[in-house]
Amino acid sequence: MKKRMLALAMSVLMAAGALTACGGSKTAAGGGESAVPEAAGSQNADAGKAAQNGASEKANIVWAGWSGEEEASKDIFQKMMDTYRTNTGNDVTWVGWTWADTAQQLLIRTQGGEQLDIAQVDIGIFNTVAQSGVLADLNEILGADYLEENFQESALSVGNIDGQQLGMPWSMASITMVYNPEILKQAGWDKVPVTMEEFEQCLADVKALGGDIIPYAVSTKDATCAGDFAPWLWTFGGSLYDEAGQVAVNSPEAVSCVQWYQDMLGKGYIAMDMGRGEARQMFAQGKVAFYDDAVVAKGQAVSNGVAPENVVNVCSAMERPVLKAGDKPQSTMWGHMLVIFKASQYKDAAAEMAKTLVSDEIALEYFEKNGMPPVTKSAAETDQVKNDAYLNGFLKSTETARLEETARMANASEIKSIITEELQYALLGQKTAEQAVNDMAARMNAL
Amino acid sequence: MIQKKRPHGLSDSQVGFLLVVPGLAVFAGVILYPFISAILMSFTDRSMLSTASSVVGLANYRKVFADPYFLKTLTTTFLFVVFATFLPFTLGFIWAILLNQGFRGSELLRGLTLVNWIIPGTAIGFLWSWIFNGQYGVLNGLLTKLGILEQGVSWLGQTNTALACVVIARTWQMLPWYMAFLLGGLQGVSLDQVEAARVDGANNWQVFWYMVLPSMKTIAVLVLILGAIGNLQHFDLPWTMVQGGPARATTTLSIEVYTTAFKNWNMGKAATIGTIWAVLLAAFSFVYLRQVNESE
Repeated sequence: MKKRMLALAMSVLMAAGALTACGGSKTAAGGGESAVPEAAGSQNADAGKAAQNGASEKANIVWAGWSGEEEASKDIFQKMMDTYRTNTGNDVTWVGWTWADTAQQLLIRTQGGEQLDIAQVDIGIFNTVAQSGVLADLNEILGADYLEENFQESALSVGNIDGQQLGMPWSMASITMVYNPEILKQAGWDKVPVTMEEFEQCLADVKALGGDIIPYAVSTKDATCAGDFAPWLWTFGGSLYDEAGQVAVNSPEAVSCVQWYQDMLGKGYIAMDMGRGEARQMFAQGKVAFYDDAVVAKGQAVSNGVAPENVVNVCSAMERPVLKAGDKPQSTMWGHMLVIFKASQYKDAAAEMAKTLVSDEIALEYFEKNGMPPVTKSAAETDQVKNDAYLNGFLKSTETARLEETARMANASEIKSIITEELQYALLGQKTAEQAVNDMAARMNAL
Repeated sequence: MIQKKRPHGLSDSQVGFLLVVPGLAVFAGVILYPFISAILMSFTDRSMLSTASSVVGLANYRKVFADPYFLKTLTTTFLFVVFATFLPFTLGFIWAILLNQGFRGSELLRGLTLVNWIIPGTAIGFLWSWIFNGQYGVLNGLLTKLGILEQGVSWLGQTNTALACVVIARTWQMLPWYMAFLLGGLQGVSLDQVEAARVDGANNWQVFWYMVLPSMKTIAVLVLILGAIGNLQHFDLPWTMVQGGPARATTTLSIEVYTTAFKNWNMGKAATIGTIWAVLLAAFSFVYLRQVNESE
């Protein structure tokens, strides 16, 4: 009996150990970020107090994001930080994760009280971070005059929530379709397909080339799957929500869109187990004819040895094909913003960092090497930007780009997971297109 | 029983208690507090997006049990635990028996086998993702070269193969662990008895079934229970290889908790699933500890 009681007690303790990870530890932070000393928060908090007391000590700000982790961006990010150090005498420490982990890491760090001064966020996660109430109003830090003087109102509006400027535009364009002109030429296409009918014919011609080329590497997994699905849904005339904000994904248009995906998979034009990462890699190797991406696609090509001026020969942007001629091509607004945290002891130093990042010198070099379009009025007006053939392809799509329907929702990530899962059920034949969109709607309504 | 008094005036039991206090304090701070905190959190609507939360009673539990996808998660977890425990156990047992023959090079082979177990789980996950990749994977390359497949199969992109791929990767990772334990058990089997049985005409199968297996019963049961507990908690491989997909085909309880907390920001619901998970673990742990006590 005693032994049984002991076993029972011990098993409760072992289970407790397992559940510990779910507990309310405020410092739990997973992920693979590059090292920042554990004590950095408290040390810098002390330094911050000293600065507030009037001491002229140099600030050591923490800058977080994901692009600096990408091989293609490492050099230019180093230059950004070096320039900041030289110009201000302050120091900056980069803390990075993958794009997919950024929102999670920012939330954990801010709730855990760790030092964060400035961060890179994209349009998709901006609202989630903003909803947590941790972002500072840039009108108060940088000044409304500075912002209005340097940025277009349309760009500023993306980072404005309820009159507060919580995000400063850093780079903006759209996520649209990217194609490999050389593969299209081999398939007998000198111009890009404009309608869906032409697009399907083009995919068939690429498929007929044989080899291991995937005609269209649309994302069918992870967080990018729902992102690629949205503009196709719009192309078919559907939407996730109606104008009243009610779930509207269970529509005949959405069913047609899912059926089209199923058809594409059946014909071998698209593939399962394909995410943005795989698509980029395979596109860079000349094994993909089309995929969806933002301007950052250029960085991948450059890091694979293509000269920046020749990128357009193997990687060009195009407008998404339309259901019938005359329809508006669909694409999703894409952009990176810079945010400064309310709890930062170094808001002014972080603001200087933001100014450094959007300065013409840095922004134009970032544009040249990685294709990131600058957003300041002065940089956008330069011949280097205006005459860039690669960027112009994206800017054409940007004219009709829409903000993701979930972009202003705090639970965007959960909604995208639902869309991805239900689309996968349909693609794998476990649900009909009707069942999949009905279940999408039911699950979205239940949130 | 008369307690012996020490020169400092404390009894043995009092000294014993004082020695345990630091450990208890660490346990209370590192395990007990977060454990109780997680259980309490399961009754709230705590979110990662806000520091404020309110009590919602059993709403999270009702929501979780009413969710048909949660039942699928439990089924997937059960399948993963069963296959990822018995497959490496069986292969590990066979491998242990082979290594126990003491042939030339068996010790080197034993050392080499352990390499799988030393490699970090995430590295193993990426390695097997590459092997099973539908577009440029090693397996497809091999099978198409051998003429077995005409074109590549999306092993990780199909619901009927994704879980099997994760189980295979887990088997590769854990086989040395089972092998090491079972080899230790095999070395405890009496060779004299085996020799005697052979003299009496027993064949290999009879020796294994009637002599080796009964001798190994205790260690085999313990290893199976420990393995099952490890698999019930396992996260690395299903996450790094397929992130719980496609279509939730590899979503186990560990992945469900992670995505609910860190992708959907719903800490209250994640704590609820975590509590249910802990209850399941407690059941396995209870069986394990009872087995340990009985074997003692």
